[in-house]
Amino acid sequence: MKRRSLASVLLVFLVLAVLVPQASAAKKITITWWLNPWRIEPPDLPEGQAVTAEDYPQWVKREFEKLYPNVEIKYEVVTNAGYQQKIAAAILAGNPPDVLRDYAFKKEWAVHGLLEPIDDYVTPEDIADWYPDAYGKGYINGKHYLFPWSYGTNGMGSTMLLNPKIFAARGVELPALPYRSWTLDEFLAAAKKLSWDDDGDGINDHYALSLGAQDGENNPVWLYMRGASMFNEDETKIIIDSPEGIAGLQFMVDMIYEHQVAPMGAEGMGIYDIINLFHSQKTAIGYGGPYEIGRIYRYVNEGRLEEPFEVKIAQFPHLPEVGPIAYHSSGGFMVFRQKDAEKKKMVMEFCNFLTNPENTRLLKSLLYITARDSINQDLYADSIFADDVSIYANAIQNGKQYYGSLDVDFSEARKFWQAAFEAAFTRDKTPAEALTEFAREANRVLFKK
Amino acid sequence: MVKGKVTIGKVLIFILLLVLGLAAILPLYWMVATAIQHPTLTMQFPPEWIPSNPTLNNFRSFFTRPHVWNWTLNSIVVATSVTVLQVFLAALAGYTFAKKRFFGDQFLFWLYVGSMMVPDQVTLIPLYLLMSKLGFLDSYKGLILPGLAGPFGVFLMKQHMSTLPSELLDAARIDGCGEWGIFQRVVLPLSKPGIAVLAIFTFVGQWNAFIWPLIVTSSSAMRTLPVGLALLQEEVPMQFALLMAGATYAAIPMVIVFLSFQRYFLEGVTVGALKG
Amino acid sequence: MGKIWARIKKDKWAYLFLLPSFIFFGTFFLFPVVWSIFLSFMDYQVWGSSFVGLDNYREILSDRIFWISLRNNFFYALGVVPLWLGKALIISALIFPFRKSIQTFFKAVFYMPHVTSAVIISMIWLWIYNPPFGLLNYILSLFGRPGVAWLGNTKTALPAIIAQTVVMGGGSSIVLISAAMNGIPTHLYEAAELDGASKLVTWFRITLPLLRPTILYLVVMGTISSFQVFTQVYTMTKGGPQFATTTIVYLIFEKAFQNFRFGPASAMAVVLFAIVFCFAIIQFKWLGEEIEY
Repeated sequence: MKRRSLASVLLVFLVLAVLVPQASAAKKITITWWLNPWRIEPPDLPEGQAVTAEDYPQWVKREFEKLYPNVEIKYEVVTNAGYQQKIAAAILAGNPPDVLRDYAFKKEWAVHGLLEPIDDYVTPEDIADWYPDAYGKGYINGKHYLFPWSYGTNGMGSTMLLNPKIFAARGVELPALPYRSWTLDEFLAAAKKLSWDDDGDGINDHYALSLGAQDGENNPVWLYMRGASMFNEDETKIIIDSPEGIAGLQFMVDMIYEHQVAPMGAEGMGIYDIINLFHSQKTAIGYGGPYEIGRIYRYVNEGRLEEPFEVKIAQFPHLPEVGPIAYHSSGGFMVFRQKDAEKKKMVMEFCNFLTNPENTRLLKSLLYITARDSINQDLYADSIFADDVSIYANAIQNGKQYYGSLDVDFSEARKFWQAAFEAAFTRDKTPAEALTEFAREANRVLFKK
Repeated sequence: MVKGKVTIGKVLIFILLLVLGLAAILPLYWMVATAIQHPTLTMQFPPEWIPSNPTLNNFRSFFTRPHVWNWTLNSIVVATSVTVLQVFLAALAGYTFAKKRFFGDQFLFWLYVGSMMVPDQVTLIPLYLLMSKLGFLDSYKGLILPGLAGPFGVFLMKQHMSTLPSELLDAARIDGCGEWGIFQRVVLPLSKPGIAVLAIFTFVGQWNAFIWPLIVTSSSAMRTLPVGLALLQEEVPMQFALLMAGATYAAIPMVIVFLSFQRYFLEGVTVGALKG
Repeated sequence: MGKIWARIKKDKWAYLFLLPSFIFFGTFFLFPVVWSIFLSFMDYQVWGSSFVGLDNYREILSDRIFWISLRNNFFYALGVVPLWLGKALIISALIFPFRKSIQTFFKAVFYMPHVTSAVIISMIWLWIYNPPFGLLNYILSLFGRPGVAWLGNTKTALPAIIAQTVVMGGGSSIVLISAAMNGIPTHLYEAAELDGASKLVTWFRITLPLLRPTILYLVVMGTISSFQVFTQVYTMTKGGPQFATTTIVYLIFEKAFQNFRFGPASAMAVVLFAIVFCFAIIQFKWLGEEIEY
């Protein structure tokens, strides 16, 4: 008897448990949101608490759910390493998130109707405020697909980081403000003074800078600097094997062997080796924008670096006849195909919430530049990094996309690009041979030529 | 060739073998030595063969990395469920092939044996697409199900159960035992050694599996230990003290399994003539 | 028809017992194998696939890296298999005269790396091969030799991976060869001893010929597994430098799961299947019944 009554109570409980949430779920809207790790400091973070990648999305979730109590935000912080794999798998399985940070945006998604156009959900004021190239990044077949948010990246390939202490110790002046720009000759003269031999064995122990074959972000600069370009005008052919490109790669090789201003072993190095060398002050020049200054403080907080050191941002060197060169890109959020009209409205509302002026300003804690002109005017006015930020912002204004626009998917050619630098840095091939071969292979995989 | 006589030659050979054996496990020793070394000391020349001031800090920082416990749990769940289910499926099928004659038996067994020649990598892409269609990507189902499909277990069980005396099964049948009863009460208990070999090899194989878990999982929280470690190595390259602590942590359970069930391992190699 | 049905009904227990295993085997093994062949003739996309005939095969055959990967695989097999086998034969011969317990002890020692995941082994060797701080360059420096960027150099990267595989592997070959050696009738050895043959001569004249089936089996299985090498490449070199360590399975992985081009990747998988199949045929032809272990 007892057991049966217990069972019936349980049964009623179970039925309720199944039915009740469903009854209310009818009105409830769940929005899934994926982003890669952004250690943005939310406004309500307690003083002195270390920022994690969870803090920002958690804050967004709280605030948005406060505004719209019938909405539930389910966010997921996806590591950079597996981001592309995860989104590709989700698309294959037919369950991509509603909102995605565009870290691995492919044009085909829009072309094949996997994305929602956003034109009806943005205001003319927004469009006027966003940089044209930031809003234009998601422009495919006459429609827009991207809510712009950040402008530029961590600054790799755009600007350099200088260690003023080493510059001073070696009697080298920093390039002058406002842009800290220098010509290639000025740079090389400085680099030679910044590389020296401690123990008199004829091999330098300190270097001006370091290069790495696996550093796909900074390597193109040295070629673009001379006026070379990866693609022809309409992006139908690889033309980086031009005389300018070859001269650029030759200069990189010379920096290692001829001028000895960069350490050997570049064929086996990647961006983290380069960062480590700069952080351990073995090199006087590193790469990146304001975000990379933030990395120094983050590493100190995480115990991976003993103490912070002063850093100044400078432009990459340039040839007077070509002018300054920098990498440029922007990022934002996009919306995958929605079936339910009511939900679609809410998803768009969510994207507007993420990218409205007030919330876009949060990028400041990462020393990022935003996609809104109005914000960038005063965002860093009170910051000790104001000069550095403005040098960076200035550099990326006229930046280039080294690997082409969304129209080309460079990913399959990437390994050939790296191989060309490996071959050149080991001197297995001359720069001309390495780039010619790269162009041949890349034209084959990208354009079936 | 009389065994047991101690000669100088044999002593020398013994010493030579010891040296070779030490060389073979030296890398494993070096993993442990680095794991208990101070991170800054790993980046110094010359290295210390025996850490002068051992520390457990590397393990501590390894465990503060996100999802390490998830990886551990996932490895345990996947290896255990595949082992239990695989043993059950393979025992049932192996027994059938060993002791029953039925229409199509030759053909079906040939299908299983022939499949052992197909490299696993051939099924990777279709399996991935199949899992995406079923919605099993990045889930336990996706990790476990393909582990149950391999033909090897059935082959191993068939080989083992062929050696069981058929008279015993007949006797049980005469005693009125049903087919299921025979399997459960006679065949399974008699096959314990074979089952142990299959279980151990399946468990170790699943614990160490790499390419499929790498492909089928995409969230950090769903990774297994080897995949988590490999990706950690990409995330924090060059932090060898931390990485070796993680490697030691993932290797220890298998070394314990090996030392406890050594006999079955050595037997299993000869019974199944396993790869490599 | 009725007759077959009656047989099936009679054997219903057999089918019932086989069914659970076969469901998984069929769904997650047989079906994917067949599908992979179909895929190799398709351009597979989420938004719609199309039949492209032999295009995928044409593409991979004109891909220089595909040929490099095949060459690397052959080179890898040529390095690993003989060295594994040599190591296993020597160690088996050395432990043979000892008591059973000592034999088992050494077998266990040499087998130990086998239970450690290839990822872990590769991470350890990445550390040992590290140019500035690794153990190997340190040992070289004791002999006054300069350090080498083992995995960063096109000439040494693949040999380094081979060396790693040889040092850590071969354990199960030792177990198998020892088992086969213990199966050789002792009277053959006694006869040789009476003839006054030296141990070395005995080994070459008696042991080696009688081990032939085992050796052949190990060669074929070793070659097949050499063509499936992936984990070391993924963990240690990602196929570099300049494709010097790109293997066919690594290339399949890259094409399928990093570039998401399932068609050409499937075509490569089918080629791999064909290669392995050829080795399997050799095994069946030459060994016939002898593989009964």
